[in-house]
Amino acid sequence: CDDGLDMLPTGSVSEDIYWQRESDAVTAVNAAYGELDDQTMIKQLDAVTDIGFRAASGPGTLHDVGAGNIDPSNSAIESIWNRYYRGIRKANDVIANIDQIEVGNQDVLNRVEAEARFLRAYFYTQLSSLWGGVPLITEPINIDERVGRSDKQQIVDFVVSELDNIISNNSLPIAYSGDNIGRATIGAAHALKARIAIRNNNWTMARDAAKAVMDLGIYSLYPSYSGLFQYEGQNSSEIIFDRQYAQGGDVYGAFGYSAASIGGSSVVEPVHKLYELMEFNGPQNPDDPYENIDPRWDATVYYTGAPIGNSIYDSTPDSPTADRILVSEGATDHGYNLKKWVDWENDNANPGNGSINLIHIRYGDVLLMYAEAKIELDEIDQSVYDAINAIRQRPTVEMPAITSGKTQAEMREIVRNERAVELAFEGLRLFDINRWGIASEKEGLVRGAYFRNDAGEWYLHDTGFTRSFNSSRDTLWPIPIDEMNSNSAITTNNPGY
Amino acid sequence: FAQDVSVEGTVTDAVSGQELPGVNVVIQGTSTGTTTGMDGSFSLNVDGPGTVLVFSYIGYEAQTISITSSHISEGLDVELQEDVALLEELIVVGFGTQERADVTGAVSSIQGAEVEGRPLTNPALALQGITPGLQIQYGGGQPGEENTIARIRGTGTLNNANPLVLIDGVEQSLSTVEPSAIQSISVLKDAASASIYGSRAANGVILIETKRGQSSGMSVTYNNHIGVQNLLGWPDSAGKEDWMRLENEAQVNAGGQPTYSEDYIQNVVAGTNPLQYPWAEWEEGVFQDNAFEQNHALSISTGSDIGRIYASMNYTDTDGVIQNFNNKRASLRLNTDFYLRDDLTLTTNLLYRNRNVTGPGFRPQRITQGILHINRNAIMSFPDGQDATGDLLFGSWNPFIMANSGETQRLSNDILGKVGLRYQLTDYLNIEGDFTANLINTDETIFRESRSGMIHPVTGQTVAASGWFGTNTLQEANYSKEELSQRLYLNYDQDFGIHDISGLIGYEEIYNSSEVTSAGRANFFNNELRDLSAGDAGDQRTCRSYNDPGEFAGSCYNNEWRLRSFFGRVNYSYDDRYSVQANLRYDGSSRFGDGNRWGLFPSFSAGWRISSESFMDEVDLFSNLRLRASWGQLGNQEIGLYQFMNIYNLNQPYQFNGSVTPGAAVTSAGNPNITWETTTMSNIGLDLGFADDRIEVIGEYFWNYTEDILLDLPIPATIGVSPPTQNAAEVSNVGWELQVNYNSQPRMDQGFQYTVGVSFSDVVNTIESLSGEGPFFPDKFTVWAEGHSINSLRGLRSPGLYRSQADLEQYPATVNPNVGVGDIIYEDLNGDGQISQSFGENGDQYIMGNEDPRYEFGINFGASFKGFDFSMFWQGVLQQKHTLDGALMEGPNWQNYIPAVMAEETYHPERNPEGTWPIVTAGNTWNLQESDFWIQDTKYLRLKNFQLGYTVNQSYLRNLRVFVTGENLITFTPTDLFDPETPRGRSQFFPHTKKVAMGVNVTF
Repeated sequence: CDDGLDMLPTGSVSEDIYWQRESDAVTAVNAAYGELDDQTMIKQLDAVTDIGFRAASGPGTLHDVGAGNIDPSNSAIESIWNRYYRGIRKANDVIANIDQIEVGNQDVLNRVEAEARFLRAYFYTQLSSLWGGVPLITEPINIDERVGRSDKQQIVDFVVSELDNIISNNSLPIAYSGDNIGRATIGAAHALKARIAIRNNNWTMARDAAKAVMDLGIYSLYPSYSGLFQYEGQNSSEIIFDRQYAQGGDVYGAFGYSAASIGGSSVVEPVHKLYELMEFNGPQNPDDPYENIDPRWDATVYYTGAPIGNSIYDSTPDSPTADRILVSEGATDHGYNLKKWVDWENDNANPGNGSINLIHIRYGDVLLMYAEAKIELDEIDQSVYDAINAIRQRPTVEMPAITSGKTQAEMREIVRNERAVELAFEGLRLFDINRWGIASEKEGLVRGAYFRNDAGEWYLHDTGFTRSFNSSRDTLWPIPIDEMNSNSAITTNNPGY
Repeated sequence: FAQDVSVEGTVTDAVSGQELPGVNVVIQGTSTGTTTGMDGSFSLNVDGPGTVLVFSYIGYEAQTISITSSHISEGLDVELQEDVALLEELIVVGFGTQERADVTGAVSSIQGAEVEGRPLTNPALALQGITPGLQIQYGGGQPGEENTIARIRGTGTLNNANPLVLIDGVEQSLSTVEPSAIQSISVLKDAASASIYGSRAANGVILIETKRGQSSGMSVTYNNHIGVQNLLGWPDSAGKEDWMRLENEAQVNAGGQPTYSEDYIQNVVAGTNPLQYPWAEWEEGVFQDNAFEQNHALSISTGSDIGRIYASMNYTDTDGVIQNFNNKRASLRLNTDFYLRDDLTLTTNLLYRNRNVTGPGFRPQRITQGILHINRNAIMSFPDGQDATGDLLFGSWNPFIMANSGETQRLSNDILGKVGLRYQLTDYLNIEGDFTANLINTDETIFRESRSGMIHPVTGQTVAASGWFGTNTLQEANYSKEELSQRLYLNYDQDFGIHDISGLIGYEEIYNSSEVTSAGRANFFNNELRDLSAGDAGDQRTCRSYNDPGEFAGSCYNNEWRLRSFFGRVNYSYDDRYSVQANLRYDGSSRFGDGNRWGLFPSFSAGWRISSESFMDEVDLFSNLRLRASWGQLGNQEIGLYQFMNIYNLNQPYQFNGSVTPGAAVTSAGNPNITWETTTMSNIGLDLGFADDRIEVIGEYFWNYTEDILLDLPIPATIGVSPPTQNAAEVSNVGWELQVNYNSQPRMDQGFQYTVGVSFSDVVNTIESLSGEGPFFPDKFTVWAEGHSINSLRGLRSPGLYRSQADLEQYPATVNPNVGVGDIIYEDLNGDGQISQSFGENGDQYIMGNEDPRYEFGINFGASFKGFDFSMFWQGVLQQKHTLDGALMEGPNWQNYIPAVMAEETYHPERNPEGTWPIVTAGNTWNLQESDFWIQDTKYLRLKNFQLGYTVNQSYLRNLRVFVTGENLITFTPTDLFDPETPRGRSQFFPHTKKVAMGVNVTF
């Protein structure tokens, strides 16, 4: 009497009938792209470093991480961990099952498998940078299996060998057309290799991998620095790999991280440290702290006096606008808001519906990695100056060129500063300050924007918010408490947790 | 026989003296007879003296009279007694009725008449407090929404704990049936009474039967009420000046500048130049006083020897206490019974219902969220002649505009058709079957207006409109549900003198399919063109919403399930002293995989009427003394669909180069072993009657234990899929119920008579097992831990406020370095020198208590005198706690709502050193942590209903009664911050209401 009680879902497919056609492999790898980094890892991650601030919105956010209150139950850390392992599962699913497919174009299947391996390598790059040694899972595992931690070096070696494998197989194209633009390319594989190399102080590998990207000859700097983070810069020649968004698909509240007056809730804010890192192209004006500042400041930060939407940003304590500091939960705490990634012209009609692709790797980063690797190798030749000056003299930036004859120490300072200014709020600062050993510089009182007091004197606003940094603990994140509790194969957490 | 003698007379009500029309007068042992006319008179030819006449009438005790010659010559006046003896009350039970005296399980029943007079448009509220053990939690007053959560004897599962609600045997929403059409409501609380519903009954069953035609004669009834509703439980706000000064205090305490200048404050208080010095009292722009409601019900009940008909029309129109919310509901109901032959009856139920729930483009939760979270130094509405324009705070938040722009409409057409046959095979055996279709079709439309281009009247500049008001959007959705069911069952009932045996075997099958499709577009030409085709084809989306999804808009699905069941019941009673009953149900559900699909649910019960034993003959104290006991098992199949399979989720799209491409992945592990949740229920009951049952006491003790509760047991996230649902948890509910009813001595004149009923109950909920896992944190307050209630709250422990340097030294650990005198102290429970928000050993959170209501009670009082009748119903709980959440405790710390009590109680070292609320500091987070500091005592006593009626003595109509009535008019509770019936201490709901109404009941 079971007739009619066997009911199959009409909105999903059982595993018995999947993995038959080429399109099954393509849709499966597409799902793995969906776990790429989102706003949290691109914008919020910089707000736990010295250059930014992440607003408080209850316990367990990256606000706490920024403040130095990191604990294994932090739910933001947990969700980042979970997301990467979801992505690894999806990639593993493709790699383990793609051989079952009998009907399909073998070139496409090879490419799809390489895409899955690339994505898995990306996730492990991030995991090893944030947590050190993590479970190395390379195939789909059952719900009763438990995998313990590998050494960090094993993860790094795995990523490098996977990328080498992808590169030598030549299964990934140099570029895509049409509706495949946004998939992993051979250039992305080289660039990711440079990234994991530089994060592990492997300067030779970083230099060679970055050089390989440069030698592809298809990448160049996009002329408009501010436009690079708006719709106009999408899929431009500077983009090597990104997370793509689209109307009708994944979108995000484009202004949500930004200023209250455009409907945002100031989730992240640049702070005074970023200002300190800026250079001036010309004399500084005691009456205007923003005169002659590096144009990338303007492209990155809303500050009092800067245009915002149809009006002027004003976060001063007597501002009549919604941007007045601390006027509401959504207003800035420290007097600045994030302008990078805001395309007011295009999104103001419907800012809940933003779809600017979030850049994961771009050519500007590759040039700076190349320069940094060469500097660390003490191979400071003209190509190093050229790489840095290309960044500095991008048409919309036009900062004075670095003149030759600098020492290694000077050049190290220059390239680090350049990375801070050029790559602010692109999800890279945390890794940079950790590997440079300067993460503790975020300690102490967080200072915000310049305001004038009643006597007309400039002062730096602060809310009393201070940060701490425990150097024996805080360069690695804790394995989340839930993972520790449910995974009997992981016995030790990172030091200090 | 030659019937040549005529007997004439009148039948009246023994108490009121009112003539009774439609009374059956039959010569005993024959089918010969007549019915009384409109004036209660009858005339019948009989053989002569010695003929026995039987007078019977629904709701009255039948009377048998042997005709004498004086009856023939002088006429026969008969007075019928109303059948008040509860023991003979027929109770609706699963697939049949039972005399109350025979019921061995825990069943509470009320008659429709008890509900009919209340001015309710949502019958779910009529159940509140009517029977111990049934808890109705009232979630807010939006017209047309169910807004209630029903729990029978506590929460028995971590999953869906809603009881099964069957209206005429078909699962339906409690809120949709018209109160005037209710014949009876039965609440099946234990296994013995509910197990006939097997796998759907673990949370108890509520059976509602609608009225059917009277057996003879005709009556036409018109009932109405017209009333007004007002806000209930919304916290009083601080006065304008207090509000501004407290906001300034928060800024100053944080080291900042005051928000409001003295000049601003003075101008606001004086009300001068409101455009320059605006102060938005959002409540005035959002709520309305005296929200109107009306209800009309017209019904016809008729019957003859070919059948009976009940037909009714019902119309309800209710405004919300938030402006622009409304619900209109119209229904037509036709219940017929046709006697096709002496032994064959055709029954049909037909229902058509139209529900039209309307409101502005925003959900009430958003609007109240706006009131609670948005600054008041804003212009609520510009004086520009247009409706609903004003300052858009942060581009979107202005509760006045939200409540007064756009449109939400949920228009439903419901059809329910049931056709059944009842065939009397023999005197003892009949077979019944029906086929039922229950169709619901709802169209949802949500239009949100654009406010871009609005000019500010003071600055003359365009007001930045973003977010919700940046562009207009229209979302449309269609929900359709089709539930087809069929039942067939055989009844047996035979009386062998002192042995009485009855039984039932049956079959039931339910097929349910539901489908939602939705689509939306943005960028409409203007705010008036609200047709999907007028939107921007370049900005459209299907199955996804723009902003807030609607009830259906924003999703798409297609679900189906089937349940196939076989069931049986046997009753045996001996000499009305001993009765036993057994039930068995065998259910197969498509929700489970092969091998786990079928479940068997048995129950047994017994009753012993001690008062009928011969050894009790000498004891005069009791008119009734009966013991009952029951045991049984029930299932819960509400676990979602297809959880037993590993499936590729096809809804994992990604985007390449601006276009969406499909993606698929296994996102959650299937569990092929998944099976029913099973609840084992044990119940012991005691029925006592004193003084001819005028005093009645019913006591119950129960112990419910649910096993195999479905829980997502955690698996390591490194596996990369969500954990499968597993049968892993156990929950118990242990409690007791007591009900005492008293009826005063019945009087034949119209003198003072009264009844009092008191009910009292309690249940203790405990999570017995989580398979050693946990604790789990289903939301930011709740914790599920073994040995504690499902509704347990977690948080920090606080001994109060820091009031001195000594306190700071005694409790040095703080959540934030800014903590000082005036802030909340949290205890460092694990003694590690810091306050951490983790639960258990690693942190300082502990279980602060739970939100379970304890010791619920209801008090009914009814009285009549002459033509007047009066009733009132009080309800409450003796012990209940809720934790405060969100805006009401944040106040000026985050520019949120300032309740009056906060303005009064906020600590300040000079201004208010005795204050009991923490000091305010802009940007404060440390006083807003979950902690027992914010737990509110929400015990309450509430006059749920009172009613005063007067039956007009006249001769034109059969009955004419006028009444005034009120709901929720008086409440006693310790908290000023929210309504004690609110599910949680956050008034982000459609507010509760109180109501005054008047109406008439007319019978023609």
